[in-house]
Amino acid sequence: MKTRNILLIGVGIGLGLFGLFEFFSVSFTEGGILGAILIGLFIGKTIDKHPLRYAFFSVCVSHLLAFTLLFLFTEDGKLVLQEGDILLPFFLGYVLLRTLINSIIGTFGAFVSFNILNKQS
Amino acid sequence: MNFLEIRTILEDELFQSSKSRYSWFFGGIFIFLSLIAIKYGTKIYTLYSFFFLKFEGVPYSLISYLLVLALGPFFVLIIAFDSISSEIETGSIRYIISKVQRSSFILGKGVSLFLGFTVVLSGIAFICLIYQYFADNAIQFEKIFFFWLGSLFYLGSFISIFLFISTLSANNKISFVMSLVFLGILIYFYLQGGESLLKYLSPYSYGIDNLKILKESQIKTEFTGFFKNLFFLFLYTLSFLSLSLFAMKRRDL
Repeated sequence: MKTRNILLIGVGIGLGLFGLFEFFSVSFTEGGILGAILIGLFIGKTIDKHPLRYAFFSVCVSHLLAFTLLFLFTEDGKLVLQEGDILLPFFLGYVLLRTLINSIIGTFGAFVSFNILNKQS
Repeated sequence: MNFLEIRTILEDELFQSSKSRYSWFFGGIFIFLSLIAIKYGTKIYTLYSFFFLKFEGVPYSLISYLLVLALGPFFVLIIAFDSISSEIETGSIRYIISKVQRSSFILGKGVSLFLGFTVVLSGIAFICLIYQYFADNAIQFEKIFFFWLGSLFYLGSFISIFLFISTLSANNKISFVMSLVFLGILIYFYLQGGESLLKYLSPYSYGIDNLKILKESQIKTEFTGFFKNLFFLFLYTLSFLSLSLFAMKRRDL
């Protein structure tokens, strides 16, 4: 399978897990970390070259997409937009920080699974 | 697994390894910092004891334990991150694993690091005892023992973590970066705190919880918690050592 396809599958898995955790009211922190680890493990096991890089991008894209969708289509998102000035930078900062940390965790997951589970390592 | 092979690796690591001088150097720095912390940290601590603590005794072991909690993982990182990755990078691991089993190799490395830190912690505990004696305070053997035991299990868990990362890494640079990243992740997990379950995934949580037993007023009430924390730290060590063995057996060297 092409690396590009696996990247898309990783993003898809991330979005699906994000939705699932949102549905079951799991907190963003715990759900995000669990999702990032699962994406990292999947990508590390599947991709043969540069799995860390792809895991980072995959978790990053899936988190940003999920937060954007959440921002646009939920009541909380509308509230943030209506409040304007102060709340918006706070929300953006929270999203970016959370995305960065979860991407790093996902990268570590990919590092572990690439070296243990991947036959090419 | 063969005990004779583990002993061979252990002796080689302790007495003939080129890294041993760094171990002694950083171990010496660690003991020196402990001495400074005991000397000056207690004075700072006693300034505030009027507000926070209801006893007059100066807790030397508590100061040393705080130092181990804060700096211990970084010292373990510096000493342990290249213990296996350097052998993989130079290719010398091929000569070793042709003569000894892979599991013996990992366990030998782990035990040698563990013994090294046991010596360092015993040194710090001995300094605490000497300082208590010359400061005309009652020598508190039980507290020093709890400090020694708690620190040993706490640092043991970090040794197994960095050994695992070193096993996975192809060279020292990757091992160092990934060890730092994982240490950051563990600190982040602990900082989640509160009701979050994430903090229980970090050895910091158990190590910091053990602080209670070193406070004099609670020494009779916290035995169960202390040994529970030690048990979890032991489980942590065991699981990461098992992962190291698993990774080592699967790797194509």
